[in-house]
Amino acid sequence: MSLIEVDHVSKNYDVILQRSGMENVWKNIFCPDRKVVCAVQDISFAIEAGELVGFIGENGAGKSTTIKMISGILFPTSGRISVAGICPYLKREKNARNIGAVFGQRSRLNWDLPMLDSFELHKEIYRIDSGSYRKNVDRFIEMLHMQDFCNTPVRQLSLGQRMKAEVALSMLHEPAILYLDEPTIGLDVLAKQQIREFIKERNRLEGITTILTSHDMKDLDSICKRIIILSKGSILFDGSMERFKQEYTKESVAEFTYAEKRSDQDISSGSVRVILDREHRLVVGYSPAKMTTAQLVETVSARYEINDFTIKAPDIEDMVRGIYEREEGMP
Amino acid sequence: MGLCRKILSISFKEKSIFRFDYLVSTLFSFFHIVLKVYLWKGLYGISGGTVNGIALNDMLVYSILSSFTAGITKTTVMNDLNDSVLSGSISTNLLLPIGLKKYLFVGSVTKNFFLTLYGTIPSVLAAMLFFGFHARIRPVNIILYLFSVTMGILINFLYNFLFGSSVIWFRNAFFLNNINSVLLNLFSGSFVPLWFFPEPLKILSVFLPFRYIVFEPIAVLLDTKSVEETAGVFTMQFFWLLLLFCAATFVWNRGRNKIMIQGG
Amino acid sequence: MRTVNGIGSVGEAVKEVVKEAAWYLRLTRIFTGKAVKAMLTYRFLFVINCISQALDYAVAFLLMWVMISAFDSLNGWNACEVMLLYAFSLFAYGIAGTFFFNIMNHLPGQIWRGGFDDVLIKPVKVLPYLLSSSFICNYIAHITLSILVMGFCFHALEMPVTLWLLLKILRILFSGSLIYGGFFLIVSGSAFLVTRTDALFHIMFFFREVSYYPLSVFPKVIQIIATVLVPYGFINFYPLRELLGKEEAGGLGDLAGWSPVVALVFFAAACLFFCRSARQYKSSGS
Repeated sequence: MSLIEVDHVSKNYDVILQRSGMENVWKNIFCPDRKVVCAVQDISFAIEAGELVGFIGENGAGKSTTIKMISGILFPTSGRISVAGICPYLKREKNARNIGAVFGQRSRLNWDLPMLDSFELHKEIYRIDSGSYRKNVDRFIEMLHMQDFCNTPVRQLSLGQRMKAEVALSMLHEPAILYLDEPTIGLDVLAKQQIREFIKERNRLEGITTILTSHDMKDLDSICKRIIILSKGSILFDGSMERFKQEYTKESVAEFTYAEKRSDQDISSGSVRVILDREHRLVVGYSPAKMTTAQLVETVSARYEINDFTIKAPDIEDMVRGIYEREEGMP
Repeated sequence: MGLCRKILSISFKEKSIFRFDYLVSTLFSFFHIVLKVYLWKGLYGISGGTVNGIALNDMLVYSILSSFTAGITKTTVMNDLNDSVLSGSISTNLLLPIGLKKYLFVGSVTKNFFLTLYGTIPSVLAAMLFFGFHARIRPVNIILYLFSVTMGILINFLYNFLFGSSVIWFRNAFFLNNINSVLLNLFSGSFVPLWFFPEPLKILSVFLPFRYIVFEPIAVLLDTKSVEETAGVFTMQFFWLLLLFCAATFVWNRGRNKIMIQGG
Repeated sequence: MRTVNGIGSVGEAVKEVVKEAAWYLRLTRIFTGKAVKAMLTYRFLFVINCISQALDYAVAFLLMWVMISAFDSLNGWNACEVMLLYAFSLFAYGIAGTFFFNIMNHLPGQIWRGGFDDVLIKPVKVLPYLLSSSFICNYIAHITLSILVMGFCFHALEMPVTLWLLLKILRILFSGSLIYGGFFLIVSGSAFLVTRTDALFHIMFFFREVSYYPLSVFPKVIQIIATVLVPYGFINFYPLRELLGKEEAGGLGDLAGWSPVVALVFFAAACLFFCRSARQYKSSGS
């Protein structure tokens, strides 16, 4: 049995529509217009212990709703969820001991106190024994380089320092599962890097199953082994990072400079097309799914005397944009 | 002037979407008048009669008028200043091509315009229908009242602005707000008219600006004053207006410099 | 707690509940300790806020005294008696506010911005946790002021404060605090169901003001509402009327003895409403 099982789960919200205008006052009060909004529609997936999973989706795709349901905050409208063998929304408290969560947009630290005070509160709430608490605090402070600011009121910390404290806080009670919602939003490169490393490290050492949502594709690329793409409440893709790259990579672009042409024969084929060939510059588009870089170089060098080449690797961000646009029906 | 019109039209669009909360707050400002009226009725008892020369009917009239006057002279400028200093938006406000004092005044007046339109006027009219309103008011007194109450609005605004500016130094106006409501409740006559005050409090009230915000305009409207006394009220209002204006300008300029130098 | 038959398992269950309660008390202590530590940064502001708030109410007492003294009495209640009504109401409000005000103050925003999810993600029961984390000392001003006024009024009314009277007073204050607490909970709980809690908020504070004066002053409709629908009459009017031995026929008869019962039932109902509403949140979401 998998650690997290989500089985044909749907979630509908009842949204009350406010009508504007004087004539609708009474209508708004006594018979408001209701609209059922389907946030998540019949999704199923399973996550094994120790996996690093990234959730991708535009705003309102159902990422947070899904995470809220797995973490026991929301009831699903239909379907069944089990986390470590228990039902998270029926046994919320029991499930909560097992999970840690970071919501990047909100802080759970007390702003007027140093982060260590918030840590102590966390220790009480999660009933952590003093021994492992001490051990974890010391290790986390070292791993995330928090020595300098652990006694400064959180109010005076930078965003990056604060987020490190948030991430550390969520792991103090050694949860089996960690939910990270936008953990690197608005951070500088170094802080991002340190947080990513920390998450990977914890996964490697403790086997913490990690579920991450982010709009920063580099986060996903460097942390996640598996990607689930949601769009309009349905799963669009569920598979490994490699498969994702293969399936969704459009064209890569390679640029060559050459000394001379060996022949005038066109190198265009099913997998390569020439975009530009002028003044000793050759730009070709090729599909990495069908052709490796070595094969491309081989093909080109058969006809050109190559001096140098650069390859613009496919960008996950471009890929995801492609997926969204396809969904929106845009070109 | 153009800017004023702009702000007014934006607020109008915002607020003309008549909403449930307006209904509720109107209902409860009516209930508050009801509460006051029954208190006075309870105080006068079944026999009625006059106390300190004031009859029950005079008190009912005063209660309704004071609800109205307190309603239109109200201002939230102290809170507005507090919010914008704490959130830091005051620095952006300083970039506006209009003095902040003027800007806040226009905002305060527009806000009150809608509160008056949707809250104060309906509740006061309801109270008049419910309890009756028997007062002989001459047109000339209405004009004098309008003049006097305008001064009242300005005095209350400037006073609030003056002490509200101090958040630039204190960074919290909660206690100022409390002190302000203490003084206003006590001395403005919005709840208990100064007619019933014991002598020491009455004397104290003469040296403070608060009675010129609610109590004196109503006294002018009800024609309780001779021509000389009315002139005296106007003189005092004008004196306070001038004093508060100078003080507010002085304190505000120092505060603005502090914000500009230290970046809020 | 596997089998719930026999006295042994009932004892177990009780023990379990006591243990949980002790844990939440401990949590309250720690939360409050941290809150006090955080407050020390703003020591000066805290003190000055308390003083200004006390001043606010002191002026209200003063105005009440000025007003009633000018007329001798309000419906047969003299200035000191009405001030006692006010003081009892304020004391009960202060006690309830100490535990519940922050819940009411923060919950709508928390629900609106999604911060309530942070509560649900913790391995804690919602209401006890909110209680533990929301304890505040700001009402010390209200409470001190009302005790002073009570002392003054009982002295002025020439009622010696005996142990018996003190016990009666405590009973009244206990019931009153529970009723106010119930109101705080109802207003807070409604935040789970509707986006704007203004209406209930207005009702709560309107009747708080009503409770400052003898209920018999107001029209019968308000008297009935304040007895049956919103039990404000039981906070101070009915019990104090009996305590002061007033002979008047306002309200719905002599209901002083019912105060604790009404308070307990009302508070329990409010708790139930709050928990039901919190459950509703989980199925509807934000």
